[in-house]
Amino acid sequence: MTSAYSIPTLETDRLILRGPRQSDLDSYVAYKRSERAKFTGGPIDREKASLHFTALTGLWTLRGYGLFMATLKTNPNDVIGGFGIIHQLFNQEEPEFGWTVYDPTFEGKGYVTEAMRTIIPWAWDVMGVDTAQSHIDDGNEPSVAVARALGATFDEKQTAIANGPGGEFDNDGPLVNIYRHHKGALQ
Amino acid sequence: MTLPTTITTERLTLRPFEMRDLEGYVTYYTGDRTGGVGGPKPRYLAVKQFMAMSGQWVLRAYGRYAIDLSGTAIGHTGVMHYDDTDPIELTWTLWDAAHEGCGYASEAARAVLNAWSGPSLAVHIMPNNTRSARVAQRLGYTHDDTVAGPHYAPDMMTFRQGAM
Repeated sequence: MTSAYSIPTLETDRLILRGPRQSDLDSYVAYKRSERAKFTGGPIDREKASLHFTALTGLWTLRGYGLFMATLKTNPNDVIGGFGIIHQLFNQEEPEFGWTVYDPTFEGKGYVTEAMRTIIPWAWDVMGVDTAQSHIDDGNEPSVAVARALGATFDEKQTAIANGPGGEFDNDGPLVNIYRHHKGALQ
Repeated sequence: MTLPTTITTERLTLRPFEMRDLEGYVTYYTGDRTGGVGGPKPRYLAVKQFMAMSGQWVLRAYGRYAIDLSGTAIGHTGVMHYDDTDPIELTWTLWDAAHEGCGYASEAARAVLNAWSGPSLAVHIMPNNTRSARVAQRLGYTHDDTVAGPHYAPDMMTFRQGAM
């Protein structure tokens, strides 16, 4: 079987970053059903989460980039989170660097920053643009710290536009702050 | 359980979805024709479904194809299987009434059935969708009225391969 897409496997000191697999679904669903998903449009039920996971995976086939699933090198079977690029085909002009630790056991250990420091340099050429956003719900301070560690800065103007009338986040949800990444800003 | 990435039939090519197919699918999914499958639905859901049809190929070695007629997608067919708890289904849809009545759906879905190696595929059809029911019969499927529809659409009729 020839393949219409290819997903690389990237490696950091402690992590393997690879394409999504069906066996990752349970980790994703457990996260999306939990209260921790309140910063990413949740909690939602299994059926919705399952469709969402499959749809996110379609970014790889349709755009050629997407969300990596991260496992520890010491335990390659269990996914600890999804890190990479989110660029929906609806209502999202610019690509977004996104990261979510699915299992709270693995928070606060620097895994997100470690993964994104490897993914971001890889991403620029593949995306073919020199800037990207990160969307962070108001109050999600740990993610703000990650964005800043990755060299992103708060984009006040785009945040106002996106949360304003007719904007990407003009809905019942919380204020979404946009952090701006530029190619070369990550040292 | 696998399917080839591309299948060629007498008049059609079944191929992976591409970005250029999105608008045709969204027009179908947000329009009146999705009455047969629970629609019409809002645009964001249409886009999500389109992405999921494409993404399933990464997660499983099978999925649904764009039905390509002379370089343009006119519908989709193939094997739908998102959650492991879902039935493994054969589906077919033409996006525009202009392409009905030419046998395209039967030709495309039959090619998928011939290429499929795996457990038998369920078919679910809304009771008022007589055109689709005829396609199912042409493919050798029979309505099994002893079985309810899938959990996400209990009103749908279940068809099984072979005579009852």
